[in-house]
Amino acid sequence: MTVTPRAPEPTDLTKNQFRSSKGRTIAMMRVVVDLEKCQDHGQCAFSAPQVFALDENGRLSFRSAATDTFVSADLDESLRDDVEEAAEACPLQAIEVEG
Amino acid sequence: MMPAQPISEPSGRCVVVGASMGGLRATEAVRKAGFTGEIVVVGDEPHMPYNRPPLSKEALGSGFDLTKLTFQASPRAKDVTWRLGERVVAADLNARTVTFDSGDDLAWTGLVVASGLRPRRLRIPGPRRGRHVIRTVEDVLRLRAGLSSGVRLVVVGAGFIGCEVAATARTLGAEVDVVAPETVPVERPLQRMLGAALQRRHEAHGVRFHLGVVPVEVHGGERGTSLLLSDGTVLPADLVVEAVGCTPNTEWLDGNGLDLADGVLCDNHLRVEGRPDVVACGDIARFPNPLFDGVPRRVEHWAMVTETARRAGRTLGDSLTGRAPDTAPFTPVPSFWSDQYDMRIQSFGSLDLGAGDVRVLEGDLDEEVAVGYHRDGRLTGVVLIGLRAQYMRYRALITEGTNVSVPR
Ligand SMILES: Cc1cc2nc3c(=O)[nH]c(=O)nc-3n(C[C@H](O)[C@H](O)[C@H](O)COP(=O)(O)OP(=O)(O)OC[C@H]3O[C@@H](n4cnc5c(N)ncnc54)[C@H](O)[C@@H]3O)c2cc1C
Ligand code: SF4
Repeated sequence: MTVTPRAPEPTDLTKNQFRSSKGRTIAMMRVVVDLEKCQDHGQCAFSAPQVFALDENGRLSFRSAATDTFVSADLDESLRDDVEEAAEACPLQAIEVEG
Repeated sequence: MMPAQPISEPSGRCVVVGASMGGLRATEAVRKAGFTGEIVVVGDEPHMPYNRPPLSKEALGSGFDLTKLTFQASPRAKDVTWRLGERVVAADLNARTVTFDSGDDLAWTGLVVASGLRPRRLRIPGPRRGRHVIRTVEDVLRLRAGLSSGVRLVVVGAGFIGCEVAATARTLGAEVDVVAPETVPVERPLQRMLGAALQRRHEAHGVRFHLGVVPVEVHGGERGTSLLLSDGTVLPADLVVEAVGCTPNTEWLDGNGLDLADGVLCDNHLRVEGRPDVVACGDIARFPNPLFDGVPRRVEHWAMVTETARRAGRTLGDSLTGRAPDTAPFTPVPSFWSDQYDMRIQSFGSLDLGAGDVRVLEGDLDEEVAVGYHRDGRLTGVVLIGLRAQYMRYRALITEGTNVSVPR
């Protein structure tokens, strides 16, 4: 009994959006952070401190490595839970987990 | 009327009521716990789950693309049936069914209560035209259509949402008056000292406060609307935003003997009154947090939605798959933020528990500041304005400070 969502009026928020949907083929897990969306809430650093950190100015530390999008190095599978938690916890939904 | 669907054993069916943040995150967690049966998420809004905090902030600007608010779901949530634009009107926890507004019944083996809150409305006489609330994208579309430079906006309620709307509307060039019965804005949970500081910041931006009064009547005339206050003041108002708190959406659970006095009473693992097959999460869940004490409380903050949904989904998933439950106590650190003008207000821990002993820990109330809330001399909560580089340190102080007092 799949139900088609009602007519999307007046603004279309009916589409399902999935993380990792970019279709890139990567064997390992990575995080991709949209630094334009990110507002330095730091929630990611609480959830996955091995991956995310705030710098001494309280800004996401990746900002020194990239300006618009940060793509991490391959991450160990053991970090998956924490990294997924970080993606969920980000108030701006700026984190994608790929692979 | 459709007969209840047969349950396909052994996997069963999980029904999630409420297709917002809590419902989505609980769904993902139920899957993550290994549940392979059907999951049906029911939501009366016609949208996929979307993010609400921007609704009182940047989304009030007409240029903001509301479609950007849709949450990203984990790939785990792909195999899920979304029944959007449908409302659950009743549940029978013993027969394990829910009933839709259409009259259809649906049977379940597991139920997630994630139906959240709806805004309270002012009960005062007068026309309804021009009166708004902010909870949904439709609310925002209606409001922002009228919100432009020079418009006279009266915000009723000086909590976080009221203050955020006031700040955003000022930034957009509106004339803004805030009316509230408290003595300072956000008196709960910030308390007087910080609330007064917040008021000074708003006043510096041109917001006018009318505190210690309530609106008693709306006058609608040809030349627009005005609001009569309890002290006799008449405020002209092209638009009124009612930000006077919320009511939990629990009516559909009536008749099951549950404690619905303030949301849905849960145990520490988010089971509804100890039932293995019903959990609750998000704004509607009232649960004890042993980080502080054993008193069940409801928390209306974004970060807590993720935490409770993850734990509730795990609890239900374990029960549905027959796995041994996770017995570790659930001790999430409460946190919230609020953006007003260019300031970020960030809180960790419980301000209410330390309301009797509030002190400036560092900085200046009118600039960047850290304010501490203490119980028995121990820090239970902290609010930071600015001081972003100190987030990690203060959050750690809360977890350390309170853990000491966890009852055994
Ligand atoms: C304007 C605004 C700004 C905010 N800003 C901040 C902020 O800056 N910081 C912060 O920490 N928090 C903020 N919050 C709080 C945060 O957004 C909420 O905590 C969060 O949305 C709660 O999610 P939920 O899933 O529990 O409930 P909800 O988002 O309320 O979702 C419940 C859903 O269930 C649906 N529903 C209800 N009853 C039924 C039924 N019988 N049948 C079917 N569907 C039903 C509802 O329509 C709704 O879609 C803000 C909230 C709002 C409204
Ligand atoms: S949680 Fe999101 S917004 Fe906050 S620092 Fe991390 S990526 Fe940026």
